[in-house]
Amino acid sequence: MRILPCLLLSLTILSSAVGGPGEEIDGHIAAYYRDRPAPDATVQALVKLMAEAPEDPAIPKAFAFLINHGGVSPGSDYDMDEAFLARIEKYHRDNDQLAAALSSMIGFREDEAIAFLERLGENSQSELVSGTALLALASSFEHDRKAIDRYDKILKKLISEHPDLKFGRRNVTAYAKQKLFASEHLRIGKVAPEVEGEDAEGKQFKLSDYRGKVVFFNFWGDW
Amino acid sequence: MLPHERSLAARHKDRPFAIVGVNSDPKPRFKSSTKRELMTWQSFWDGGTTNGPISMRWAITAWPTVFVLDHKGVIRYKNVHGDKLDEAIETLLAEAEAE
Repeated sequence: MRILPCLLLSLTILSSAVGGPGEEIDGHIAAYYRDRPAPDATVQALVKLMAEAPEDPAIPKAFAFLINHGGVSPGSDYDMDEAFLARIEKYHRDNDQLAAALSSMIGFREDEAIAFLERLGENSQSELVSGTALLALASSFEHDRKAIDRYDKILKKLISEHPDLKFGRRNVTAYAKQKLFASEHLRIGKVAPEVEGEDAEGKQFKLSDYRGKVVFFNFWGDW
Repeated sequence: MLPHERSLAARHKDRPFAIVGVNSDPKPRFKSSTKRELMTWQSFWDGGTTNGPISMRWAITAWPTVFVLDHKGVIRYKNVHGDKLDEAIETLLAEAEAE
C-alpha cells in the first residue's frame, strides 16, 4: 500500500515531463512566436489547458502570456473571471514565477483583478509575488482621486513589508517612498514642500521666501 | 515658454507675483541662459542633472513641469500652460489681493 502514492507521484512527474500540459503550454507559446497564428487561437488553447490542469507548474507562464498577448482582462471573452483567477491563486500563490504576469497587470481596474492582487499582496509567501502584486495595485490607483487613502496604504505596506524588494534593478522601497511623498505633499491642495538651495549667482534662498506671493514654480532646462 | 514667462513677470510686476525656477543644467549653462534670456527671477540650481535632489523629491519626470502656488504656499494648479496658465495666475492674484 505504501508503494502506491510513490508510484502515483512518479507517474505524475513523468506525465508532466513528457507531453503533459506544461509541454503543451510551451508548445503553444513557441508556435505563437514561430507561426504567428491569430492570437485568439493561442489564447483559447491556453485558457482551455489552464482549466484542465490548473495545478501544472507551467500555468504562471501561460497566465503571463495571456496578460501580455491576449489582451485579456476580467470580463473579456476568455473567461478570465473570478473562478479563473481563484484557480491560479489556489495553486500558484507562492510561486515566484507568478510575478511576471502580475507586473503586467499594472493599471487593471476591474474588481476581480483588484481583489486578486489584494489577496496576493496580503497572503503570498513569495516576497516577489506579494511585492509585485502591491506594485501593480499601487499603479492601478495612482491617478484615482477617489482612492487616495487606499493608494497611500498600499505604498506604506510596500515600504514596511518589502524593504529589500528589487524590481528589475530598481529598489522598490525608494520608488514607493518617492510616490508616497508625492501623494502626501505634491497634490493640488497641499502646502508645497520647502525647497532650499542656491541660484545662478550662488546665493542661498528658500521657496518659502516667496510666501505672500502667487508663485509660478517651474522645472526647466536649456536643452 | 521663456517669452511667456518674461511677459508674465512684466505684466504682474506691481502685483504679489513671482516666478521661481528649478534648473537642471550644468552650472555654466545655467548661468549663461539666465543672462541670455534676461531672467529677472531666481532659479534653484539642481546640481546639474535631471536626477538632482529637488527634481527627485518633487517626482519630476518631464521638463518643463509647472506648479502654480497661491500666496499661502498651497499647490493650486499643475501643468497649466498658455491661456489656462494666465487665468490660473489671475484667479490666485485676485485671491491674494482680496486679503
